[in-house]
Amino acid sequence: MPSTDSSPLRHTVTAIVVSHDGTRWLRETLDALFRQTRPVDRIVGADNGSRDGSAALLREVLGPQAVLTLPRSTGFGEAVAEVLDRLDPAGGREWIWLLHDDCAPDAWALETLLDAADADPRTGVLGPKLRDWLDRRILLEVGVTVDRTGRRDTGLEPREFDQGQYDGVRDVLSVSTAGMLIRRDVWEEVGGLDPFLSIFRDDLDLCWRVRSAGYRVRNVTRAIAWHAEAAHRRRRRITVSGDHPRRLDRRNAIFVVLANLPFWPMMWALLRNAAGSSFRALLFLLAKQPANALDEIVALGSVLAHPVRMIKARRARAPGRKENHLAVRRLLTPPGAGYRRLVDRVQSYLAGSGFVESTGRHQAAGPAEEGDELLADDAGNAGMMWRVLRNPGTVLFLVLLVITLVAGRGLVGGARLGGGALVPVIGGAGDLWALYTEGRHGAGPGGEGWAPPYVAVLAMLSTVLFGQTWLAVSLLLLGCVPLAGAAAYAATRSLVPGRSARVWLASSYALLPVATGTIAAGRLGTAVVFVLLPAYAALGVTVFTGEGRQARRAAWALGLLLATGTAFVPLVYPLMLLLGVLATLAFPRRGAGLSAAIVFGVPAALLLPWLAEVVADPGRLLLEAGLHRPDLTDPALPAASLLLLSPGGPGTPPLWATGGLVAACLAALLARGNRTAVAIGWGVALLGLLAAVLVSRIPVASVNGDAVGPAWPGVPLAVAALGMLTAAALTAGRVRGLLGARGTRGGRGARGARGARAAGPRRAAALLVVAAAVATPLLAAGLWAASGVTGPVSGDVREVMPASAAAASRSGERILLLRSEGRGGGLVFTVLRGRTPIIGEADIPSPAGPRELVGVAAAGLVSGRGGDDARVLAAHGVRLVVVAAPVDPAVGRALDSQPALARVSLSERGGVWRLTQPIATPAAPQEDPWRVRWLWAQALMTLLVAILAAPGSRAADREVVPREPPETTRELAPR
Amino acid sequence: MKHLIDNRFGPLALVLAAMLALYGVAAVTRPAPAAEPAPGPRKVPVAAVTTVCPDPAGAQIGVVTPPGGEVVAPGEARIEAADKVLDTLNEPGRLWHETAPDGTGPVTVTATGSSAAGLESAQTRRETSGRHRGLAGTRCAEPAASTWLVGPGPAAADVTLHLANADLATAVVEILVYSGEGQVVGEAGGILTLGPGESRTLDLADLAPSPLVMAVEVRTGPGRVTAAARAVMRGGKGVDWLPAAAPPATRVVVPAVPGGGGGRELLVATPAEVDTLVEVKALTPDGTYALKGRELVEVPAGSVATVDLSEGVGGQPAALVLTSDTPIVAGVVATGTGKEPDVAFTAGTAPIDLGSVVADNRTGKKKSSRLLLAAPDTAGKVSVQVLPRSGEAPEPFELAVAAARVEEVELPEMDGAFAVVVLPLPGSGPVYGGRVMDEKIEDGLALTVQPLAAARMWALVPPVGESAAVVLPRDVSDAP
Repeated sequence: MPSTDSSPLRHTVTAIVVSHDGTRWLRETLDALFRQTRPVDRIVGADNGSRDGSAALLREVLGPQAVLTLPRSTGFGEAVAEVLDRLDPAGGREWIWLLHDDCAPDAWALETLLDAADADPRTGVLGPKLRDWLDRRILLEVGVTVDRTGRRDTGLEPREFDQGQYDGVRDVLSVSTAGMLIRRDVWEEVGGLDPFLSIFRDDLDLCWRVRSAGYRVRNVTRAIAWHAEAAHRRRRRITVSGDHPRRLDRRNAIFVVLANLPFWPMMWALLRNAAGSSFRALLFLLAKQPANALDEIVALGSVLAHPVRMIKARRARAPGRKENHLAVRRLLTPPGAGYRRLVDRVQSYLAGSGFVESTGRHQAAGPAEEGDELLADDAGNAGMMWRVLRNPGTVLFLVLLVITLVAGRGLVGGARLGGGALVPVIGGAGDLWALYTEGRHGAGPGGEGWAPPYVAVLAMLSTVLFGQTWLAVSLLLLGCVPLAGAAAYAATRSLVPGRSARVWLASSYALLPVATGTIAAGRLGTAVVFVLLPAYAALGVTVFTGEGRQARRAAWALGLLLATGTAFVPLVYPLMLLLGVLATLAFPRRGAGLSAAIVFGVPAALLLPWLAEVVADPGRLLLEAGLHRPDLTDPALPAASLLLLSPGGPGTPPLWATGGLVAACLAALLARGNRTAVAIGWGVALLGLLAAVLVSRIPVASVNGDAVGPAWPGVPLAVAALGMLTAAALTAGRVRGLLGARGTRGGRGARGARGARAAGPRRAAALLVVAAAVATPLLAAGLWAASGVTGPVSGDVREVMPASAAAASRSGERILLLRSEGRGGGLVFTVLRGRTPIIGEADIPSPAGPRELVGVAAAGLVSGRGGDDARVLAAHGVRLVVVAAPVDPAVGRALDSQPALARVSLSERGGVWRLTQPIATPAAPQEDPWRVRWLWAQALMTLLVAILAAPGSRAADREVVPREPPETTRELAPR
Repeated sequence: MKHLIDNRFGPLALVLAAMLALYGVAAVTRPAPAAEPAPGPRKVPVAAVTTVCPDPAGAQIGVVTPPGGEVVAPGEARIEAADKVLDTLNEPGRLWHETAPDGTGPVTVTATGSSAAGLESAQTRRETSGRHRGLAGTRCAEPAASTWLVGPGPAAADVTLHLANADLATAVVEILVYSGEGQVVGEAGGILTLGPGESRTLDLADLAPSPLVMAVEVRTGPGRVTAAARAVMRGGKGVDWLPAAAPPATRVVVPAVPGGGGGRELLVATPAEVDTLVEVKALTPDGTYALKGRELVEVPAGSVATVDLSEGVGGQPAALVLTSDTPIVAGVVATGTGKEPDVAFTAGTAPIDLGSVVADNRTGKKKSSRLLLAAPDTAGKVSVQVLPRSGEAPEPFELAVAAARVEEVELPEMDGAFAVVVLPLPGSGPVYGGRVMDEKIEDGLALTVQPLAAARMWALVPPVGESAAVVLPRDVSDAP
């Protein structure tokens, strides 16, 4: 080691300018070099085979002797090494100042750097503060560090302005080679830049080695250099290597980290890199960036596949590595930074600015932010909240959420949600998965059909929500109003201009009688479809109007969502199929047929065995998730009710509440303009109404054929309302124009002139229409919040089965649960296995034969006719007969009169009788091996469709290149 | 068309026309509300009946299955006494009437299939002298989880309780006694266990020695038993069995209070823990009879109240309609006339919606049997058929009962014992009834009354449907 502690030597500085196709910047760089307040002692140029006259320029400025011409494939490190090979030491303490052709130092840069070098004799490397070449206030680097996975960390925000916030002379892990001032003896001691790292991370490796050798690397912020980062911003081709830059960057990053860390930290970093790279590759695959995923894997593989290279590199770096690791470790990125970065990215994604991905990008310049980014002051979180809260969609969501919570005050916080069409929600995600994957089902007299696929959807949601099924169901059922509002607002972004019109549309849609009726009757199916319908509309429009790839992606997404909706409400499928066929015929375009095939093929493929069962029994097409109970629908729904979008049943507001809405939508037909869109909207609306009329008039039997009643026209009416509302919202601009006649609102300009002409009765009419339109959601919200959810759904459904019954039923033994509907009424029964059915279990059809036998036996028992009813029950594995409270005394007496039944308990909470004779245990049928295979296929197909539908790499493709500012601004930019 | 579309009002007109068309379609297809009534319960013949005649020693047993039931499956009725089969019957419509063997204990009648529907049995003992002088008859009861008996207490009569377990499962029996002073809490606790096929006789004085009047509930935890009680009045005032009373209800009809002279005492008991006020209304052949000063009876909590009706109904056959706020049970003690009177008991019953059978009736020289039918709410109409022990059965005859009236009909004179079947005709209101049988013997009138119990002829099978909605509470708001 040279004597660094001797008396200060005279500094000599040799500047080496390496150019490569850099004429655009080279002149300014050289100008800056010559303008230094501390003149450079020697300037040497090296040109790596430029084709744009850089070499000539160098020779012209520096003289032909001082310029070395090298082949085009030479790297920066090699070029410097070549120069130093031919350059004798200058005497004194010689410093080498490395300059890129696109890096212009400030006039005081060298002087300041040397001052800093004097201050600490152990300094080996010094670097200036790097700012952006074009926007000269933007910070690029004040020293760079790295974490243990090789992620580059500048410690700067994207596009951070230099306000002196980092100023000072600081120890850093590494500085860029652009403007790096390095002692020549140190350079020679550590061996210079590693030629293996021809580009990317060579500076990091060099500085790390300098650090390991015991010198300091410092960044001097008072010295400034402007750097164009031409290679990294793809302003010029990288010719040093044919490899993909990203792959090269990752490979070098991993290589440098592994080579420079001591052994144990290196092993740990190796593990983290292997795991991290695999995870990132998976994410890239999901984001449909297979090239990036390949880069990630190949980079890791290339490091791992050459252990000899690694061992050699480590051996070369062995001296001092372990001893100085403590000092290096302090400068590495602290371990928590990765999570913080993830949180930041999620936040920025939520705020709608897209992922800011700086991985693999050389500097932290992010995509151009909107102007209000500047307003996001130092309190970063508050700024983000503010941005989210200022979005009308968010505000609408929150307002609807509050209204829902006020209306559903009786439902929130109860022990068990249930009632209406919803069986009391019990069990967790595991039970749902078991139900979906099991071939044989416990409830009913041995159902063996396919569990409805919505069970899988619910199970997935429950799994995400910590296995809490009740949470998932509450979220879907109670959340359908705010979610539908937000969905409608978001979905109409590309359809309806004007935020106020969209807010009106979304709030009117979310508060339709369909929504309140859905919640009141516990219709989970309609609740889900109600939220999905706006998404169908938006995606459908994209499928038919978007450009090729976008349309295809929308088709996959629509197919997936349609499959989800169909699983809950099968009626959605034929309804959308009809609309899709009509749209394909009306707007023929290339690829429309294929898109339609995707949209309607995906649900068919995903739901196959279950959908086939449904189609085989067409009545089930009109059913939805949950129980079909005739008392939840109006058996003779008035025609006016249908046309006023009220589906009938519990929880729907009075008819006049939606009268204004329909009237306003009709009045909107008078406005001119946007004829095609309005016609489509009304076409959808009329088709929906027609479907609603048909649906409400067709009596349909429940899954097990015992309850016959008309279907509930909620979904067709929601479709109709959406069409109507969209058509009306499209004319909002015209209406605004009419209203604009008033001086205060847009009284100037063309609009005002037109408004003035339209003054008088026309304006009054427009005012009336707007008043009616706005009144509807307000009225609906008010009525709903005031009356609350009045329907049969309840947050606190009492357990119908006495605890003794559940406990007494050993595994495999069934429970016959009875309820007498009172005098003259019928008897309802079901067969359970130890517990009440979980959601979806009641929707599995049970074989008709055993069901009827058990039913006849149950009725016989209740009638008290004697005979061998009990024997029939015993043959079907029934151990207990439970009568739900309140127990009709006649039923109690009749069961008491059965010699084959022994009473276990009878109280106001229900009665339990036990069969005294031995019962048969039905043999478990064979598990179908194809079932499991099909489930796997279903999962794979779902994953595939999700990947195809996911928003792709659009954000990543969009590399933001700041436009070259005009010459004048560059001159005016502060230096 | 183009002109229409270009017109400002064109699209509106088109849409309105379409909506009008939709309105028309919806209005035309709208179904009439509640077009089809809900299916009612289905009548099916009862398939198995077991009855137990509590103590037939010295008595005659009548067993009959009324004819005309749907034949579901061939079957037979077996009459057994202490593991000995007395007889096997397989001919519905024919009365089996024999004197029971002595000292065998209860006689069990088990019927299945075609012999089961409506199987009815009764025992009647007739003594002209001695402690058991008089007529004592009772309907042989089916095993039940709860039986109510209302009558005189051990202070006024020797009351023996006859319990039998005809099932295959052990029964745990609890006996609750309510007296005029409240519920009697005995030292013995009143709980006993009866094994399968076991029978037992208890002296109620062991449980509660003091009550003058009482109501007894025999109830079982697990299992079922038949319970019957015989009261032998002190001082030679007659003997009879207490009929099973209708379980506690807020409205109780006590039919068949026999006409003629003698004492009539109404007993009303409430098992509730609050005092209750019972409104008493008497129906007679002439209409509703006002019970002056006795319209309201106060029954203290858990006790039995008595009302003397000897003067009240003025010797007319009557039925009593009792209403109260809390459930009550009721019975009537009727005393015959003469120097040595006999006693008879009747009690609250259910209406004979599906028909009723009385298995043992006798008419003849000094004997007479009468049906007392009451229709408290709406007019009733029944057909009455007599089934003799032998020979051709006479044609059934129809009988109308006016609303809020009691109809008394003498049963025809027959050779020997006979059974009678009372079937309500379609359109009839609820009919309650009883059979009064008396015989003039030396020094007094022997008397027994059997309230008409709903025959185990038909069972009402409710319409049944499978639905998981059972797990939800019933109070679904029906109105939208």
